[in-house]
Parts: sequence; C-alpha cells; structure tokens
Amino acid sequence: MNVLVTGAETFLGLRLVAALRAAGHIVTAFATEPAAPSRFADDPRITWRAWPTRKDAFAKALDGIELALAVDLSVLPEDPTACRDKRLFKLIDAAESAGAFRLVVLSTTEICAPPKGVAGQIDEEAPLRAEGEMSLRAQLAVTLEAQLAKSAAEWAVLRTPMILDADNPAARMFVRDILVEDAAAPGRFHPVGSDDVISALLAVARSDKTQGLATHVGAPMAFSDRALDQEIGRLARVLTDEAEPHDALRPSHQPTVAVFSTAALDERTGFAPKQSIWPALSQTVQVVIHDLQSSGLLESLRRKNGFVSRALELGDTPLVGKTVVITGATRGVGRATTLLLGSLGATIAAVDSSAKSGNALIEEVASGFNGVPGTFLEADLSSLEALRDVAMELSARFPKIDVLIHSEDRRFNTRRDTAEGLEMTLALHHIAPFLLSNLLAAPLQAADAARIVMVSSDEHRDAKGPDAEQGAFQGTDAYAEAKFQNLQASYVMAQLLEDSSVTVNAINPGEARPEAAGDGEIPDQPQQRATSVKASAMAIVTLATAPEFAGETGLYLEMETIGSSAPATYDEAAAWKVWEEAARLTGLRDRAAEG
Amino acid sequence: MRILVTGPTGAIGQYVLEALMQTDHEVRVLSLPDSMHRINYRDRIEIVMGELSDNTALSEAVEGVDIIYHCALVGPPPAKSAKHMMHVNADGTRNLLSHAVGRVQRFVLCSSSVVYTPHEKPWQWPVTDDTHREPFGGAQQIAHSESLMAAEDAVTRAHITHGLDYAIVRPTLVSGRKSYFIEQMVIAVLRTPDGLDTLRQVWDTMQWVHGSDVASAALLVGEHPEAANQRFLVANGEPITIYDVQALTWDIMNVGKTDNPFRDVAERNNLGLRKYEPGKLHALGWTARMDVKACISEVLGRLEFYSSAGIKLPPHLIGD
Repeated sequence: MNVLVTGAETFLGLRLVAALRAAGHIVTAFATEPAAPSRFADDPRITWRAWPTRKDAFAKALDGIELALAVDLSVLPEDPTACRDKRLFKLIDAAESAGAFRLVVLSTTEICAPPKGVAGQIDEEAPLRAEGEMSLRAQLAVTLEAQLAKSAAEWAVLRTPMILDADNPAARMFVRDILVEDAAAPGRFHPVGSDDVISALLAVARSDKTQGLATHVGAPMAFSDRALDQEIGRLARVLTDEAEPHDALRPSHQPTVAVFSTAALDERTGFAPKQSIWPALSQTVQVVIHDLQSSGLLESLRRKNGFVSRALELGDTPLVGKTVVITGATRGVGRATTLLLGSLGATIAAVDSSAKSGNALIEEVASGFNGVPGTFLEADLSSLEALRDVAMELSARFPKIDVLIHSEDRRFNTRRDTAEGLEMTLALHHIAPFLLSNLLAAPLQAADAARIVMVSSDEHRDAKGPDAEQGAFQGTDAYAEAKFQNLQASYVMAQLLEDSSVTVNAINPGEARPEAAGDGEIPDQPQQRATSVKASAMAIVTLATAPEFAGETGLYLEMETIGSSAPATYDEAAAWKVWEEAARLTGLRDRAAEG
Repeated sequence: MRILVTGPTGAIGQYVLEALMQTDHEVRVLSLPDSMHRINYRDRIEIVMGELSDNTALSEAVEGVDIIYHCALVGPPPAKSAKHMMHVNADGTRNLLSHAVGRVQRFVLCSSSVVYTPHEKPWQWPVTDDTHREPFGGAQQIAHSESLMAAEDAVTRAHITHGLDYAIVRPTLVSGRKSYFIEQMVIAVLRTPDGLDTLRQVWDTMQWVHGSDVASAALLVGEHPEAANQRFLVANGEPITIYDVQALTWDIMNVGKTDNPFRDVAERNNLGLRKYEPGKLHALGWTARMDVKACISEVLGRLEFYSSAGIKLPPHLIGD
C-alpha cells in the first residue's frame, strides 16, 4: 500500500515509518526537515520530504496515496500556533476531494473530562473538558477533530493517552518531575506503549467500523500512584548503583482499573492492546537518569571512554617522544603502569631495586605493542646517596622529563632503618619522592608541561600524627604516616611550583589485588576483586597524561575522580614543617624546588 | 571471491560456513587435524587440516584468499587454562595474521562481548560497540577476556603496521548447535523449575544471539565497505533472565494455552532494559532473525530428538 505519514520526524512517526517499511509498504513521509534520518536515507521505498508548500507539489506528493496517517500530535509541535492551521487542514481537504485516500489522525485523550471517582472510566462518549481547562495539545486536538467532523472525507481519529516511551519528550518530563521535583504521581496513571499505538492506528485504518469516529487506545493496565512511585524509586536505585538485593525483583502490585476503556477499539477493530508498560517505564527512567548524569545533576557512574582507553583501543601513541620516570616500576601497580605507558609509546626510565626484573620489564615494554626502547636504573630508593646518583644520571641522560611517577609501594611488618638511619617506610614513601622530585627540577622544568604524580593511598587517613604515642612498630601505622607526610609535601611542592610549568598531584589508585598480576600471570583461583592493577594503572596514567588534567595541580584523586585527602593534610603550617624537616634530612634546605 | 574460515566446526564457524554456502564464493576451511568428520559441506569446500601454530598449513590455507573469517578461538566451557587460551587465541591469531598481511582484503575476527568492561549492573548499561574493554569476573572469564583482547590487539596492530583491513565482531551469549550454556539453562528449567534463583543471580540479564545471526553479521562486515577497521557488538534485542527462559519454554510446550504460570514472575524479574546495543550493525541494516523463543525451540527439539530416539544424551548435554 502507498502510505503517507505526516509528523514523521516525531518519535512515533519514526517508529511508524519503520513499522510500515517492515510490513512492506511504500511510504511517503512528511517531516519538518527535508533530510531523512540515515536509516531511511537510501531506501527506495521511502520518500522523505518536508511538507510541500506549493499547491502543485502538495498534490503531486499525494498522488497515489491510499492511506494517510497523521501523527503530528504525538508531540506538542514546536510552534503550536503555526500548526493549528493549515497544514493538517489542507490534508483534510485533500482527503475530501474525490475521496482520494483514507485519513487517520492521532489525537489525545487529554480533551476528555477527567474520570469520576477512583474507578471511573473514560470511553468515547465521555464529555469533553471545559475549554479553559484544556492543555495546548488538547486545544489543537479539538480544533483538528472539529475540522474533521465538518469534512466529507473518509476519516478516523485515534485518541491516545500519554505514550510512554523513552523517546517521547513528554514522558521523560513526566518521569523527571516525579524523580527530581518530587511531583505527586497521578492517582491512576494509564499511558500506552508506542507499539500498541502503531498497531491500533493500523487497525483503525483497516476497519470499516471506525469511519467518522474517534476511538480510544490505552495500555492493558494502569499504574496506581503507589505502584508508580515505588517502581520509579526502584528503577532509580537500580540505575544509580544504590540497589538493594530485593530490587532485582519488581514487587507484585495490585491491578488498577484502567482509565481509558478500550472496549470500543476491540469491538470496532478486533485489536486489543497487549504491550506491557513496565519496560517502557524502565527505559524512560533510564534515559532520564542518563540525562541527569550528563547534565551534571547526578553523579555520573558510567565509565567514560577516556583519553587513555581510547588511545589503547585505536592503537594510538600519544606519548611518543615523552620521557616518563617511574619508581617502584617492577611490581604491582607500578609495573602495570609502566607497561601501559609503554604501550602508549612513552620512553620509559624505570627506577627500582631489582636489576633482573627491571631489565626484563624494559625489554617487555620495548617488544610490546607500540613499545620503544627504554632505560632501567637500579637504585635502592631508601638510600639518599643512591637517589642523588640516580637523579644525576637521569638529568644527564634526559634533558627533559615530561612525567615523574612515584609509585613505590612496599610496606614492612617490622621496623627497618635505612643506611642513613631513617625509618624505611618513611624513607621510601616520603623522603624519596621529596628528594627525587627536587633533584629532577631542572629536566622537569625544561619540559613544556611536566607532571609529577604521587601514588598515594586512602590509608593516609589512618595516620596518627607526629605527636602520637610511640608504641611498638606497626607497619600499617608507619605506612599511613609516610603517605600522610608525602601528601603534605606534595601540596607544598604544588604551591611552590604554582608559577612554573610543573604540576604535582596525588592519586589513590584503589586497593589493588595484591596477586600475581605483578608478573603478568593470570591467577588460577577466582578471587574477590578489589581494583584490578590494570584499572589502577589506567587511573594513574590518566592523571599523568590526559588533557583533562593539564595545568591542574595540588589535586587528590580517588581513581579517576577528583576527591580530597584527610582535612589535616591541608594544614599549611603543619605541611611546611614537614617540608622543612624533609629538606633538613636530605640536606636540601630551602633551595628546594626553586630549581 | 575465495574465503577462508578457520574453526569451521565451532559455535560460530559452522554457521559462518553455512551462510557462505548461500553465496557464490569459493570456500576453504582450516580445521584441526582430528575434526574432519565434524566439518559440514565437505563435498563443496576445500579443506586444510592443521593447527594455528602450523606454518605450512597456514600458508596453504591463506594462499589466494580474499577474506578470512577467523573463528578458531577458544573459551570456556569446558574450563580451559589461561595458558591454553592465550596460546590459541593470541598466539594463534598472531600466526595467522603473519600469513594474512599483504595477501587478504579483509580479516574478520570473531571475538566476544566478554572483552567489555564490567557490565553486570544495570547502571552500566547499555554496552555499545566501542565501550571500553577491561577483563573482569571470575578467573576463567578474565583469562578468556585477556586472551581475546590480545588477539584483537594483534589484529589492530596488523592494521596499523601493515595496513591490513579488519573487522571485529563481538557476539554475546551464542545460541545454536554448540551452545552449552543455553542448553544447560533449558535443562535446568526442565529439571528444577523451582530452583532457578541461583541461575537468576549467575546470569542475571542476558541478551542472546543465535549462531546464524552472528554469521550474517560476520558476512556483512566482511564485505561492507563502511565496516572496515571497526568493532561490532552482536546481540539480539531481547533482554531476558532465566525466568523468561522458563516462561518461554512453557509457551513452546503448551501451544495454544495462555495461562502461563511463569509469565508473571518472568515479567517481574525482567527490567526491560537492554544490556547490549549493537548500534553499528543496526546502522548497516543488520537485525537478528532468531528470537529467544526460536533459540529455545531449537534446544528443545534437540533434547526431544535424543529422548525419542532412545539415545543416551551426549556428555556435554548432561554435564553440570
């Protein structure tokens, strides 16, 4: 059949055109814009065009049409006054002339007066609303229906309640009001699904008992206000990762009396609506929540396909020519970070204490995807002397250093002292990053924009502070204290470097699985997943390289999102004290960081 | 054109082979040395027996070929060691690529949706074609995913370094003649209709796709000019839970009746949201032809055959 669809650009029009195409019809589509959506663009059975304005063009477009389906009112037109008119009236006139084709117009049940009582139903005989109480859409519908009633054309009207569909702006607005504005749900909510509307339109068009009549359609069920509120709440929890275990199953709700009777539809056309509106509600809530997340009103949980993962996916090498110095490079998160940087094309200078695994790592980077030859420097990071040597060697080899990552992460159960008499944990996690960053100031400042990344830990929040009672050595306490002081020093460093091209940020890379990912083996036993080392590495590399962190300094990140460290770490006076003390211990004094 | 299909007896490969039989292409297959009796259409195709580590077989298989459909990838079930999966999927693909570069017009890799980032929770949906990849889940799943990611990376690397045209398809849970998981689900529905809660939790929301639909997607992206160097998610449009499997199974076995006792629970368990959105394939005009009900009918037909013929169920249908 040759079918004309008007309002083809509306969400319902698009579905209708697709359904007609699938059923093998030839479709002419009138839309507000002349360009067809890509999925219809190359189809010879679909003629997509803007409403013809010239009379002859209009007549020509209607030539051969056997059925016209006008669904313009499925959305409120952008300019309702312009539409009140003319275009649909012209279509009615055209249908009238010589009974050229049958015209089915989509109208709305909004024109009907509200039902009486909690179980009242609205059928086709129901009285209309008073004029003053009519919505804009209802006013348009009434005008249109009145025009049809006057005409001698072969016509039928299908009145729909709200079409519950994620693509329907009105349905999204309805859900959003309940979700965000806490609007009261209507006592009974009886919408209809798009599929049922399309089936009903075609059934009404086919039937010989619908001539000159308006017929109602509605979903096979209605929501009570309680059911609607509960379900929107459940969906909101499920879609924002707040779900309780019982949320996996929708509770049983008492059936509610339908607002709109579909008896006449059934009697006239033999079609009974059957589309469940629960999925339609879910899909609408999903779109509303995604909209709220992308507009920043709700925290976004969905992983962005970010700078690093996109580069990996495309095999890009955004770090070619960039030099990255990384400590603690041969184990755990440090190792995963090094491999990840290598696969993005970075020139790696890895520093760690084991020459064997270090050299193997550099080889693995070089032979890996997009890898380039790098350097391994063996050094005991707890030794000030070794640090000075390493800094000297790095400065000599690399006139520019673009990224410096301190990812040393060892911890100890018993107290150990370094050669210089410092506690080992403090030396590795606070003194080493402090000294190395300062000694590499020249090559860092020589780079266009260098970034220093301190791999921190959420455990810094457990630090007891310098004044705490000195009991027996506790590895966790020492670790927390070292990470705490490291953060204090980082913030001072960020402050000192404010006017330079070097930024300093800290990151909590999550609690990584301690297991074998270190040596690239896949564990044989399934295990509880904290963060995978790969995810941690991704977060670190994002902070160290992604454009969104360019120029950002003094930040504390939780994985890939900006957070804040323990409030006490931001105490400037205390931080300066820690800085001075580190400078004293390392013999840097306060020529530090000035370069 | 001359086409090479690797793994022509597998869950996807056998359907790719079947689909190619409807075309005018000359088809060659590369199959494991002990698999001759399981290859279909033996009278109409050229057969090269060999493993992916066998360079002689590979060079013979690739000779004069225009398109390769690489379906010879492995994954659980049954359980496979991480090493084995890495060997077959990653090393095997690399070997095949080393013979393919500079010779073939396009290389189609049949990977899996297992490579996508964690997506077991509704707030992570929908997964789309270019959703970020990251291994997750149990050890088997992680190892499977990592081996397939390595295979995919080898393909993209061959594109970058040697200009090889490729397309990667990533089907979800594949139904069809070798669909262990789906068969087990249908058997569980029949055997323990009241004990499906564990399976509900294990599988949560699924979106199946039939092997024949994966094959039609693979053939489409193998030749479509706009499909070059892209990745395609392959899934049908029906999100379901195990309770939908139960309700649909009842429908199939009770033709004409409408009082399905499982319908309500199935609908209440189903969130109605898609986990996977294969947008790129839809844009190319692909749609899945086999719906979930048809997939279940097929499994039931197979079970019925075994039972009516008095044949002992093959071990892979009984296994737990």
